[in-house]
Amino acid sequence: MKPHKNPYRASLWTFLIGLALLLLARQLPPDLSLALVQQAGALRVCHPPSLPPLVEPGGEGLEVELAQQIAKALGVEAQLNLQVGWGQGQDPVDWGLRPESCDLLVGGILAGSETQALLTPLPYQRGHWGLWGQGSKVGLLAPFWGADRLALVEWLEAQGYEIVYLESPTDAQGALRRGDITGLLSLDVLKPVLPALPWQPVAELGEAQLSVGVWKGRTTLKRAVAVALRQIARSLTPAAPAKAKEPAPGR
Amino acid sequence: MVYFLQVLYAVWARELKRSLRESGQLMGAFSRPLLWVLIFGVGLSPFFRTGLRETSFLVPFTYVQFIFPAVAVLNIMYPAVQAAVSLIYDREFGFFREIFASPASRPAVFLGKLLGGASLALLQGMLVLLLAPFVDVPMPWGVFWACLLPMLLIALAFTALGLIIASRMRSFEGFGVFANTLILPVYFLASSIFPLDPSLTIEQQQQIFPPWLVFLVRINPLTYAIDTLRGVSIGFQQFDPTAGWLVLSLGTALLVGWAYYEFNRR
Amino acid sequence: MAAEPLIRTQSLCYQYGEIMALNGVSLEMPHGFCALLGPNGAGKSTLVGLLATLLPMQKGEAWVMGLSVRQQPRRVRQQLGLVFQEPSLDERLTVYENLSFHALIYGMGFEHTRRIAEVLELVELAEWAQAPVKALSRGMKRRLEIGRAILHRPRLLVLDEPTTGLDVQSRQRIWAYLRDLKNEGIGLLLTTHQLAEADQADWVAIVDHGQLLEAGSPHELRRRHGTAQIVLGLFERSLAERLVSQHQGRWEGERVVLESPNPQAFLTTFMPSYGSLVSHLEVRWPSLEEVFLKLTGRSLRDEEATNLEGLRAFALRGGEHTR
Repeated sequence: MKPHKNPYRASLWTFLIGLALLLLARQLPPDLSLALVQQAGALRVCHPPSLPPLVEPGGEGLEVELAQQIAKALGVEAQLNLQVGWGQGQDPVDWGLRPESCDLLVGGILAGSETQALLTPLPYQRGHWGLWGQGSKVGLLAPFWGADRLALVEWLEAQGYEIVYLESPTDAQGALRRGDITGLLSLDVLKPVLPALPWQPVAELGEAQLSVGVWKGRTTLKRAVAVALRQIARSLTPAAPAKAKEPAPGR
Repeated sequence: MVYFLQVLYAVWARELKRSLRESGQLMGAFSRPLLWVLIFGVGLSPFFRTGLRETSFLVPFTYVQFIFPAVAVLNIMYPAVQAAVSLIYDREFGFFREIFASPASRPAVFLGKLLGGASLALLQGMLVLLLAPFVDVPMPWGVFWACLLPMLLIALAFTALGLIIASRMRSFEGFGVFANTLILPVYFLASSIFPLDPSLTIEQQQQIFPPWLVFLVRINPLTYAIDTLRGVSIGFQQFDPTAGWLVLSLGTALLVGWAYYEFNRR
Repeated sequence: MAAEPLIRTQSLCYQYGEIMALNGVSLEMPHGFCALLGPNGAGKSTLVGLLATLLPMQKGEAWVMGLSVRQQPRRVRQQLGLVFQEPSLDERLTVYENLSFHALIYGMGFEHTRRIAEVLELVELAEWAQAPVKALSRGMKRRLEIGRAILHRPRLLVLDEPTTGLDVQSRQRIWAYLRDLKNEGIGLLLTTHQLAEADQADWVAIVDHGQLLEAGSPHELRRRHGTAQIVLGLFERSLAERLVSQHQGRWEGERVVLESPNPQAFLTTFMPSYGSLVSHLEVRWPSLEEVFLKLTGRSLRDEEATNLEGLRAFALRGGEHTR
């Protein structure tokens, strides 16, 4: 009886080798972004000049601190990189943000179709749109990158309010004091810097996802930041709600 | 009924056995995803990176993520169309006589060939899904199973297409040439490797790309098929999802019907 | 055994484009071992193709064991086992796998191992069950095909030139199998252009140019159309010349060939008188070769298929090689 070669032999070898290659490729680091950051020992954090309470002048602010915690989790220092053009004008293209100078972006970034198209936003907290005060003249304060201003304006118009456009929380405070506006539409996260008026969440406008941003295509860095965010969230869980709403210590 | 299943099984099993004994095709099944995702996709990614000023790739994913479902379809397309070559082989080497001189029902034989090719193609498509972690596409089991349906429909459609071509071709070479000439343009014009930005209107799209290109991409059924798979796997669809499923199902049904018609004309 | 004929055709016609391959063939083959004799291009393969339902019926009718080929093709197929000149095996599969495939497409169910083993025993290929068909010689492949054809226990086995192109040993083996099968009661229909095969048949039909020329048992045919010949080598030349002129004989070298309807009678009178002058005595009984020659005007030996003829026949049968 002549022994016959198994006809699947060649195929089996091909399959095993091919599978091994695929599995290997699966584990490959898709890029060097994390490695570069760790090599430099610094996480360059780009941020706007001022957006209290998230970003305060002098390297303070909720999100700045978050960025520092993230850097610590990655084992590097946070290097703050002020971007003067951030927030000047409606079109982010004009803000002068360059991928080469930023590893992480913080400063009132909301995850949405606009920001997802331009970078990879990583949500860390939920915010809610709400109305302070009441009355016919309402100020719209949405200095957030990725806020759907069209939807906000439409809602305000539908409610019959007269809209006043505001640039910053300081503007808002001034306008309220002067009586230019009687109400204010903004995110609850800005509560600490706004007058203590009664606040009503507006359900129709839904939630907003406050995020830190990583440029698209930096997968390894993005994964590391996501892991860091989860760690931070877990370690703060009992106190997290309080932290978001309470004034920052030392202010 | 049992007889039908026996014939179906026999033909299906034969297709699989024959293909699996050829290591050449198997090599392609592995080399394609490695080439396209690893080399091509990663290599081109820097050109699609976003800086705000340079951005023209305005989809919420990286380039490799965008083409990932398309590479799966590529890995389905090739073996599916190739499977039909067995039809020509049978004709050339007389085996078709063994099949058609038997009382086996024609539909059973047809179905066996169709499913044989499609199952092989589907398996090879699934190989691509193995690379999901590399491209940072989360693939929990739910998503994985959901991907199988569009992939199966695409596999059936391309196997049917192969059978149609094979029914009309006489030689191996003719089949090879025709098949490759046909499927690659169809593939590239399916918004697979370069996207039509969904946020743009047709007019705007036509400013970026020439009008004939936009037109061809929009009338190409494969565009909607890949789009549906993209929707299921990475959650991004450029076209209306309902339209996508409709085109995919109808297209597959039409092709299978046509293939059956051609098959019976033998 | 049923009295019904194995195969019956009635004015069967078949046309390939312009060529009339079968022109009104009506025959009735009895049960047993039947041979279809004829040169290439005679229409044998077309006839077989029609009976096997591989060619679509045109004009005329045909019945295989009482089943109408036109009306009940599927039942006809179930009853037939086919072995063609060109192998129709899958070379990439093993012997066992080819048989298994056949069993399944003939509806034998998934449990067919034993039957396959039986058949392999019969054609003496049991050792090769796991071998890829590619590794088999031509003769072995033919044996395998015979085994495969009887796997589903058909009542009629149709073989198209089964031993053409095979070595003598394979031929002998195949004839032995066919004899066994015949003894088991399976009908056999053979097309051939080899005398030795046709001679073994119970019934022979001679076809040429798409028409049935003669049919009957070999014995009948020989008797009807052939005459015996007596070959004499004589010491006396004058006697030889006298014999040639008296009996319309002819010369074959130094010997005399006389046609004689009754050689025994002739010899009984001749030998006592001239026996001492005879150096060589031979009686040639009529052969199918002669019958064939007489009916068709051609010799079977000249009709050994050339490559072209074989290919053309294949093409006519529906193969795709030639254009």
